[in-house]
Amino acid sequence: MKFAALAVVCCVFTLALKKDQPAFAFLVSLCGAACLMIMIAQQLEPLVGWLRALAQYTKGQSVSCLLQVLGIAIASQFASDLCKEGGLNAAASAVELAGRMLALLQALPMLQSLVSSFLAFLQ
Amino acid sequence: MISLCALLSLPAKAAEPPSEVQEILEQSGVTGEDAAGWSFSQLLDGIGDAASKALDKPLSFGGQALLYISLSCVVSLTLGGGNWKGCIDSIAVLGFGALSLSAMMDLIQEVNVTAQQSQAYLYNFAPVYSGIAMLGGQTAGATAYSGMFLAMSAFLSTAIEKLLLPLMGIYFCFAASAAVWGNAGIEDAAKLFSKCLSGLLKTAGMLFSLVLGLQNILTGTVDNAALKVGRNLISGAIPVVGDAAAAALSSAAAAVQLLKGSLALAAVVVLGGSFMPIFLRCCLYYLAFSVAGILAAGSGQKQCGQICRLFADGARLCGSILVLYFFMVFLSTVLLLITGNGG
Repeated sequence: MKFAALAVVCCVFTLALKKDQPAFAFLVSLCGAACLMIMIAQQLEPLVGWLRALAQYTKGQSVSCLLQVLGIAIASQFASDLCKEGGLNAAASAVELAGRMLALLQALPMLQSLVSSFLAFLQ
Repeated sequence: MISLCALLSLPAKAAEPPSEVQEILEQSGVTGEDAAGWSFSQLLDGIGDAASKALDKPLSFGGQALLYISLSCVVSLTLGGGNWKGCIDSIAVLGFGALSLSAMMDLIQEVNVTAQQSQAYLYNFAPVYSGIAMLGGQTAGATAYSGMFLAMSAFLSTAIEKLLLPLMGIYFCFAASAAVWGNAGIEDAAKLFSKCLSGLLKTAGMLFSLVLGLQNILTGTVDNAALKVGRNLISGAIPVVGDAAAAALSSAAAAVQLLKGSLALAAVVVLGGSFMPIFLRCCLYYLAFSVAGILAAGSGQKQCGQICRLFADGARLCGSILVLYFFMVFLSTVLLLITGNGG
């Protein structure tokens, strides 16, 4: 209910300011989205802590890598949507590309582990 | 007279085993007195500890696999469809492939070590067993056991080490590559390879069974005929007490058969004890991959599901290789135990 109410209030303010003060409308939209993200992060903090504790029992870094990729994807998607809302499509594409590259770099240890298994067998 | 015999009886000196035997018995760290004091609950606890140590790896791998697939499903759902799905699927399959491939490489090594250790045991067991069988009058059976069976088991053990298990390693690497690249052709090739290897193992099993069965029939016939001829010769050649001597020969052979049966049973139990843990591991890995495959398919992760299907087949093939080897060993030894002839 809190999330929905905050989102509706931001939406109303943004629409009210959009015609006369588009810059402030964008700022209101940005602040509203950021507040929503912070509130969601606070709600999910215990779950993320539990998953990190479970990740310590697993072999390798696969689970923690997946959590990092999730964080990169959410941040990248958020920044991309904000850029699109501000009319900056090129910046949005660049942010998405950067996010995907960082996510693939996070997966590099797993690729190295796979290749080392191949090489260990071949040797 | 009886009291004189009791007073002048010679010492048997059988209270303690010879020093060489005592050294072997002391290697285990458990004395006969300790074993006699075990209770049933202690024995069950010991078996439970051994089982948990043997099955720890596949059970923890199953937990990790299910956790990883569940988490990647949650990540996919959180981000929704669209641009990020392909990236998340690729990263998920990389992680799951690395996790699964290292587990399967360890399994291959364990299968190889088990086969080699069992073969080393057979090199020591077969000559002793053949010698006892010869004492019991089964000359042809003992010769076949120490000659042909030992050669067949050595051939199979070497084929497992040098050919079958490297092929399994290639199969697992191939399957992981197929899933990472998402190429349908490579997946079909991996499935075809699995079918061919499975057919080869079944054919080899049938051939070995045929050879062992025929050998058993032939050597049994020869040994029975030899024993009958021996009895008839003794009863015909020795006057007055010939029949009694022939009956004594049969009794002596039966006594040696009892010893042979005990040896065979002990060998079957020892080999079964070394075979069962690794076979159970193969079964548990198969189960873990099957369950993970169902979860991956249900959550829309096609590539992870592909790895699970192919690796489940691979774990099944590793178990089949073990079954083929131990089937041949058990069949030959149990035939010798039950029928008195083998090889």
